[in-house]
Amino acid sequence: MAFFSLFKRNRKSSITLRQELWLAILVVILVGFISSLLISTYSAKNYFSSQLYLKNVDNANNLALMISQLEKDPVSLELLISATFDTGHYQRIELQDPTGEVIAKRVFSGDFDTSTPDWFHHLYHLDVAPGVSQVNDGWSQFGTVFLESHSQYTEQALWQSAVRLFFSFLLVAIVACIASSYFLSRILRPLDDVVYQASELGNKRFIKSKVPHTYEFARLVSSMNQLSSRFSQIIKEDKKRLEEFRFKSQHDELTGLANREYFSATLEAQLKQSEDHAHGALFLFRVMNLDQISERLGRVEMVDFLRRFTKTLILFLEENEDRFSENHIARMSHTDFTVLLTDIDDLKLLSERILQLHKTLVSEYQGVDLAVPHSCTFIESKDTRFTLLKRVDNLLKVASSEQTTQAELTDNKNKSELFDNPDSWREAIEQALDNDDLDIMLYPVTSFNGKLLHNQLTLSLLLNGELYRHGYYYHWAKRLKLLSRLDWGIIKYLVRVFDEREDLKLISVELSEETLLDDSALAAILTYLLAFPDLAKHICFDIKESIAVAELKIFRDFCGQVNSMGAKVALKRVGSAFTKLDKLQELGLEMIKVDSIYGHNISYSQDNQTFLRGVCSMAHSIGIKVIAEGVNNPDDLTMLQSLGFDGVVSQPTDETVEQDN
Amino acid sequence: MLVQSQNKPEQQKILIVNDFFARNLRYRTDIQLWQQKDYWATPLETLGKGLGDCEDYAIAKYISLRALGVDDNKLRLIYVKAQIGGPRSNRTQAHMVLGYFVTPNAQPLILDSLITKVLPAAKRTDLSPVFSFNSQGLWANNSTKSVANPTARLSRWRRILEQTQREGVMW
Repeated sequence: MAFFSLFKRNRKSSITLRQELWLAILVVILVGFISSLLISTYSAKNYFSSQLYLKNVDNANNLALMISQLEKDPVSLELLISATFDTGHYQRIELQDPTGEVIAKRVFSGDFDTSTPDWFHHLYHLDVAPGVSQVNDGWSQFGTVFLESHSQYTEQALWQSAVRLFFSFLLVAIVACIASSYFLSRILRPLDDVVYQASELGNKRFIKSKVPHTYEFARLVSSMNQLSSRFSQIIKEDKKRLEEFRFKSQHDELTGLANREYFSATLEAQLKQSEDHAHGALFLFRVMNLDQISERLGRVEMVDFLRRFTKTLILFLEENEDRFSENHIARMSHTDFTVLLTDIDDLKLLSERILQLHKTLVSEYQGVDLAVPHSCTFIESKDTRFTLLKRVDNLLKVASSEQTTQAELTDNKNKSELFDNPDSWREAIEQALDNDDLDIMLYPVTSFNGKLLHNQLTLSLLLNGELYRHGYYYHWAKRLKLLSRLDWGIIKYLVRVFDEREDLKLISVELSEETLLDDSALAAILTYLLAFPDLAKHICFDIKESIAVAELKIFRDFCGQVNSMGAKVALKRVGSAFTKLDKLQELGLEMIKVDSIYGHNISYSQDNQTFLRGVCSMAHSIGIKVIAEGVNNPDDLTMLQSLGFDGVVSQPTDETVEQDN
Repeated sequence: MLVQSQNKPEQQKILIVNDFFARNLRYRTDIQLWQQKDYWATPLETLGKGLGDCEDYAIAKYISLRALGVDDNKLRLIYVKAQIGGPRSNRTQAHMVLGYFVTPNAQPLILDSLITKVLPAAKRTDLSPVFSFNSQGLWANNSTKSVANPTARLSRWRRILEQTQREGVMW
C-alpha cells in the first residue's frame, strides 16, 4: 500500500512525487485536524463562558431581589448567602454596602477536580464576569450582590469534550488518510508506467505504453509514444537508406554477389582474425568465353547464364554447408568469381563436386565454347591477401590453360597444428577447462579521447603445457561444439578473479551462438551473474551481429534479461546485417563494434565512409556508441573519428601471453 | 435640552430632565401603544411617538441623565408598587420610577411619570419600592463597551441599553 512505501527512500535520495503528494495530503489533513479541534474547543469555550455569565447575572438578580424583600439583619443575610452558596455551584458570593464595605462573603477555595491538565486549564481558562445586582432597603440602597459561578465544572466539561473531539477528529483524519492512499495509488498508477517508459527511453529502448485516463498523464504518455514512434520511424528510414546504399556499394548489380572491394576487405579481415592459424580455403572460378554468349545468343542470355551460374554456386554451398562454417561468395571481375570458406577440411571433395555441377551447366550451352575452370587452395598460416590471391590465380592459369572445365588445387593443409585429430583437441580443451588452466587477454576498447570504455576479454587455454590464444583453438572448439563450455568457463573465471583485479571493472565478454541458442547454458550464465550483481553491473556481452539477426527473438529476450540485471549488450562484427535488426531502438544496446571489413582501409573507400557515417549518426541518435574493430592504421583511425566513431578496439596490452608457433 | 444642561449642577439636571419628559410625553399603556403587553421602548422610540408608559419614562430619564454625566451609582431604576386613587385607595399598580441618590446612603429623589414633580422618597407614601437596578456590572468599569456577549441581550434591560446605543445615544 502506498502508505507504507511512503518513507521508502528512493535510490537518489531525492523526494518522489508520491512522497510530495503525501506530504501535501498530510499537511492538509493536519491543518484540518488542528484547526477544527481549535475552532470547536474555542467555540465551546465561548458558549460555556456566555452561558456561565448569564447564569451569574440571573442568579445575582434573583439573590438581590430576594434580599431586597427580606429583613436585613446580619444573621438572616449570612444564612441566605451561605445557603445559596452551599447548595449551588459558586466561586464567590459577596454582598457589599454602597460604600464598598463587605457585608457578607463566601469564596470557594481548593480544587475538587484534578483530571484537567494544567496546560489545558491555562489555555482554556474561563474568564467570566461576575453577575452584579443591586439590593435596596426600602427607598435606600442597601448594597450590591456580586456572584461568580464556579468555572471548574465547566472547564472539566470543556476538557472532556475536547478529548472526545480530539479522538473523533483523529478518527476522521485516519479515515481521510486511508481514503487518500487509495485514491493516490489509483491516480499514480499510470505514473509508474510513464516513469518506466521514460527510463526505458533513457536506456535507449523506445517502447510505447498504454495511454492512461488521467488527462495530463494521457498527454504525457501520448507525446512519449509519439517520440518513440518518431524514433522508430527515423531509424526505419535510416536503416532502409543505409541498406540500399550498402548493398549497392558492396554488391555486383547483375548477380547480387559481393563485389571485389567488399570481398577483399572480407578476406583481409578473415586473415587477420584467424591470427596466423587460418583454416579456410579459397576457390577461384573463371567463366571462359562468356562474351561469346552475348555475341551469339544475345545479352539477355548472358545475364541469364550469370544468374544460373550464381545460383548453382549458392545451391552448392547450401548443400555442403556442414563441411565449413562460413562462406563468402564474390564476383571479382566480369568473368571471375571467388568463394571463401572457413574451417574446411576436405577441399578435394568440394572441388570435385562443384566441378561436376559446372560441367553440367556448361553442357547446356552447346553453341558456345563455354568453360568454367577453377582453382582452390587452403589458406596458409603466413598468407596475406596478396600471396593468397596470387597463388590461387597461378593455379587457375594452369587450370584454364586447356580452355575446359577442370580444377586445380593445392592440398596444402596446415600441418603445424598442435593436434591432428578432433579427439585430441576435445580432450585438451576439456582438460584445460576442467583444471582451470586458463587465462584472459584484455583488448582495451578506448574512445578517441583516450578514455577506456571497457576491456574486451578473450580466453586463453593451457593446451599441452603451453598457453594458447583464443584464435588458435577457436575453430576447433567451434567444430567440436565446445563454445558454450568456453563461455561458461570465462564467466566462472571472471567471478573468481573479479574482486582481485582492478583492470576487470569494465569488461566485455563475447557469448557464442552456441550459448545463446542453448536455453540452459544461457540461463546458467545469467543466473550465475544474478548472484554476483557487482560483476553483472560491469559486464557487457558481445554478440555477433549475424547471430542477433538470425535469432532476433532470442536476442531480443536476451537483451531484456541482461538489461534488467544491469549488464549491457553490445553487437560485434557489425556490418551488413545491422540494418536488418528490427526495432533496434527497443534493444537498449550499449555499443556496436563495427566489423573490420568496413573499418579497414576506410580512408580509400568513399562508399564505406558514407555507409559508416550513416551507421554512426543512426546509432548516436538512439544513444549507442560506435566502435571500430581491428583498425590500426593512423589514417584510418583519423577517418573513423571524423565519421563519428566513438573509439576503437586496440591490441591486447597484456603481452605476457606469447604466441606459440 | 441635553446640550443646554451640560454644565449645570446635577440637581438642576434632574429637574430639567424630569420637566422635559413630563412636558413632551403623554402617558399611554404598552398595549395601546405597541400592541404588546409590556414593551420597553428606547428613548428615541418614546420621543418619536411622544407617548410612553412608566418604564419608558424611567428609561428615557435614566439614559438622559447618564448622557449628562450623572454617575451610575447615583441612579436606580426602581420597581415600585403604586397606590392609585388617593391615600385610602386599595388599588395598586406595578409601576417603575427613577431614583436619584445624592449620596449612596441617602433617601433618593424620585422621578415619576405619574406626577410631574421631583420629590424625595419619603414624600411618596403612595409608592413602595420592591427592587432596584441599574447598569452596574453590565458595563466594564468606566467604559461603555458591553462585557456581555450577544446572548446576554436576551434580557430586556440589556436589550434596551444596547439598542439605545445603536440608535446613537451615547453616555
